[in-house]
Amino acid sequence: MQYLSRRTAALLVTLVIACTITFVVFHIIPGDPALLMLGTEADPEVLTGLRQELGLDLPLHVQYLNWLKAVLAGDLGFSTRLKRPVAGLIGERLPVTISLAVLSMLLTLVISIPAGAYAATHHGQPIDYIIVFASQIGMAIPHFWLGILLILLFSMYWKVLPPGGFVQWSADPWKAFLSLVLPAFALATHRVASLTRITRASMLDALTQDYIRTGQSKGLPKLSLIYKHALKNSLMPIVTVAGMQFASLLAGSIVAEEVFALPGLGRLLLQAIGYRDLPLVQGIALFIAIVVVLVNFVTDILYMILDPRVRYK
Amino acid sequence: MPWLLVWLFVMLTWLGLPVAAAGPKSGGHLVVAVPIDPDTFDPHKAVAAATREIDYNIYQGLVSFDTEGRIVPCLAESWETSDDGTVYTFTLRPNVFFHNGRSLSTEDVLFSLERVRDDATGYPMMWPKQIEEIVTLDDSSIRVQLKAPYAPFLSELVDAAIIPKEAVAQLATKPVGTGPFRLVEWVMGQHVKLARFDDYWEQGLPYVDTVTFRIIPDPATAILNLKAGAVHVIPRLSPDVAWQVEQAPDLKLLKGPMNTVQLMAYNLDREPFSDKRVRQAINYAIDKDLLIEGAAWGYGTKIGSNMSPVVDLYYADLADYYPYDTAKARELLAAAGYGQGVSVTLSLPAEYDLHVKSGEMVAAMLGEVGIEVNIELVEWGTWLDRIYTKRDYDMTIVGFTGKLDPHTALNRYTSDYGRNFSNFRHEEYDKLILEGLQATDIARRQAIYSRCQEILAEEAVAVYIMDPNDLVAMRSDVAGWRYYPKYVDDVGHVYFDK
Amino acid sequence: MAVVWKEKQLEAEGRGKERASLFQPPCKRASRVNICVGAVMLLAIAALAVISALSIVSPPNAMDIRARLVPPSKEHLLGTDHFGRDLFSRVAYGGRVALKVGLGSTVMAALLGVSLGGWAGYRGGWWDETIMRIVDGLMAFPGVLFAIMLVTVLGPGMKNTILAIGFANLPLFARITRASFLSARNTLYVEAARALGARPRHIVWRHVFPNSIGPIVVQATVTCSTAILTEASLSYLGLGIQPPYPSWGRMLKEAQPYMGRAPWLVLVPGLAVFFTVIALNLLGDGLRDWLDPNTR
Repeated sequence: MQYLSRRTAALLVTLVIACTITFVVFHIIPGDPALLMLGTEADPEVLTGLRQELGLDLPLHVQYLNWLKAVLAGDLGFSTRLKRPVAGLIGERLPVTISLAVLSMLLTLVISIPAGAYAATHHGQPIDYIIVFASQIGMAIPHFWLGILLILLFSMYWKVLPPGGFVQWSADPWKAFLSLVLPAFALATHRVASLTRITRASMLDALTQDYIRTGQSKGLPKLSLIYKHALKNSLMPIVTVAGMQFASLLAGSIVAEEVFALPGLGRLLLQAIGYRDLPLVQGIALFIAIVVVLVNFVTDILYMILDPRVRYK
Repeated sequence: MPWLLVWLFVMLTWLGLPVAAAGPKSGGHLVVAVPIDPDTFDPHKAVAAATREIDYNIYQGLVSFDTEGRIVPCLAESWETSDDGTVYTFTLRPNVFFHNGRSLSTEDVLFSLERVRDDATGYPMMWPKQIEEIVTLDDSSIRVQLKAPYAPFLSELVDAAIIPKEAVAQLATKPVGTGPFRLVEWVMGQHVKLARFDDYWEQGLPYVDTVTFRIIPDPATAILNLKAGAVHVIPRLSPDVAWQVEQAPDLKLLKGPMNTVQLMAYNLDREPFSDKRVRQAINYAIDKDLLIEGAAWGYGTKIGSNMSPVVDLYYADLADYYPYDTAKARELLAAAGYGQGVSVTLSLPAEYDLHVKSGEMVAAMLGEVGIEVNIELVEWGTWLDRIYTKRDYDMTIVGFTGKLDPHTALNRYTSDYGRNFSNFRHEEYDKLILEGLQATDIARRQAIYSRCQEILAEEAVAVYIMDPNDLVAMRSDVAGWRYYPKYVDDVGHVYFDK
Repeated sequence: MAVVWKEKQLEAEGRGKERASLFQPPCKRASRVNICVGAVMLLAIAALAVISALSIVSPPNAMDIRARLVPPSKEHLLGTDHFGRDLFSRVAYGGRVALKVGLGSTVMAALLGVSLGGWAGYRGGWWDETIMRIVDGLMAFPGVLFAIMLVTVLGPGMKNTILAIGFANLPLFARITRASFLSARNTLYVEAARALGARPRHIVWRHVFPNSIGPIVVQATVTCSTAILTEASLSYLGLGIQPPYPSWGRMLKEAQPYMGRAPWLVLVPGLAVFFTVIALNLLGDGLRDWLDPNTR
């Protein structure tokens, strides 16, 4: 319990610091959001009025406190270009990004855990070398380049999958799924590679533990040993890394959404950057940071449940 | 009996066939690809061209424009102008309905124009300041009194949408207008869906039942969707991907002028651009034909001053005022004291691929005559703020879009104009623009504005590059697309011709 | 909050354990082979970058509109792009940009991170608490996102890209340095030095710091490869290197509209990124094994 409360306190501190960093970064952005709202033929008088309305004429620390208060109340501000609440906009775009993240996470788990386990149990054999070599390659391929190549092959040459864009789940679930296949694959590659390596490493570790050796000497069946004991014991680092990877997928999808023209959070962010839509950029960045911190927190708690030793540290 | 049949047959052929062959057919679902979401559907607050191109089909003003850019009646059936050009009296069209079912009245017109004029609304244009007062005369006529004669009044009025008072609170997401289509659904980042408005006042329009504007930011993706038949029309296609349309058998490519002036502007308050010889040298050093070929794959019309050839009533052809001549450019630079070379910064709006590509070519061309160009990409927001408003820049490339009246196109170069970001100051020019505002006679206006264009060319205020072609890619069964000298997608006249 | 960096830590630990090298089993010889292969690949890229500066290849920005989108040939080894610029010289020049950004931001991240982490570990207490809390806050932002945020603020361009990527990678260096400082503080030889009356600064420079150099160097190679990937992503998004200077990421973006008829334009720059990153990863893995006292 003591561990839990300590972790919760740390969580809150980190959240506040993340908020502060966001504010500090975005309040040195050049560019006048008021002007941007009015466009090329703006009237100077209207402009001043709008600046007052947006609170841009107040001193920085007042702006900061006002902003922090609003954020704590769940209000991420108002998009200057789209003239709608940022939180609502994020909510609208989130399903696409989350679907993409979940799909590529599933892909990652389904491929990397068996591959890593297989490599570990065949340590030193050719298949191990092949898996390790493939993961080395997977680690180095830029995912947006892979995405472009996938579009070139699957959409332009073979015409089997859509080139980009998104169909809503409610409109046609199968098409929606198809439009996420290539991006999910492109995003997953790097994560598959790194999770395979980690699974393999922790399996190798577990396989050399005494109890496995003992089990072997007792004549327990090999497969049951591997999957019941070794894999279970190497699960912890895998869970942790998978949790982190899920959080990092949110950031990774920024580029992937650009490549595949997916209307998710990343595209919203890039568009907002282009239009200097300050509150929107700030809101999305903060949102992603908060999700990362929360996912890490949950992974930590999971870790605690899986490994009671942590509690007493 | 047989005679009767023959007669019937003849009658039917005579009546039916021509109609079937020439007339547009109704029905069908049209999908148009656009690169970006609208900003808001409140027509008095919207700034983005991306909004106007869609909401042209939803909202209408008292007057509108035809494909030649002439002002035509719309919600006002007719109008009269007083001799001194300060009083406009409009007569409303009867039997016009809003999408919410209520009929249009002079009250709505009064409300809308007052809202446009109210500072609190944040209407992005300055012209409503010209209005002295608005009075409803009776059930069908309304009078607008201007403070002073303002010749471009009607052509500005086309953008002042008439809206019903009761819908104003939710206008941003639930637009209510009088246009041929009404909004069904807007899913941010995905699509804007419109359906035909059955009580639309123009007989027989629109033809298609629904129109979906799909948001596809990447032109290459849009093309692939067009080829697959998931999209029927791509307006304003990037010239980079036009080759794909030309090669596909079931697609066609329409090419028209865009009424956009693409120019490289420089800051006349800064060295070395304060020297007219340098500006002229830069004009001589740029091979516009090659630039159009290289940056726009040849899809553009060369220009020489701040007006597009589309506005043919006032256009002065100055495209070859400065023929490509590097020797002359070097000579002028040497005369100005920059024989050893000079280094300048070219700021380009990052979102506009055409301007960035043009800038890269300009940099290479100016390098040939000893002007070292450092390219700097800026986001559109920064461009508006730092370059357009604060005028903190050396050179930049941008496009000025869709002006119907020569005054609005040329006014930006007058000394005291708030957005004269070239810092051009010229006494004769200022006087001419002022004179043009009061002139009602077309011949007089023609003379004034062609002289203005000449001054801009002579003074080399900017490098006027091209009016880029407006490329529209469509499936070959789509017909009825209309080009306007403004940034709109008129889907009301589009039909499927199978 | 130690959790945020756990992935990276675990990844690092994991890699240390599993020694995912091209050659098995891990031994000093294998790690040396890895180092050599990585180094040779890197040298090749560096050589290309140097060549691009010499006048034997055509300048990377020389345009020839009449010869655009030309497939690979004798004249243009790797073909030309949409302005008729030679792809070979652009990719070579792009290598220069990538190495500059990679090295520049790594050096920056290392300098800042090591000083922050070192200071936190050295002073401990209130300093440690504050610095590490801020570092934790920074780590809440995934690297690419933070770099995007900073570049948005600072504006694009080479210098700002280096700054942004360097700043985004600083937390890991701070963590590693702090950890090795903390563990070194309690070692026998430091205590002995203290007992002998050595000044704290002397102890840090002579005893604590040299001990943490190994992990820092390994982290630097990893950071360098991350930095090159991030630069490519930023430039692909149009937020990194400015035209006309070729960056591999930007070249990919520019090539996309033509990829159907000029596939070489998307193949070559991507391969270049891939090749560089794999070289750095091999080098990093090799160094880690080589420096690891458990490896024989």
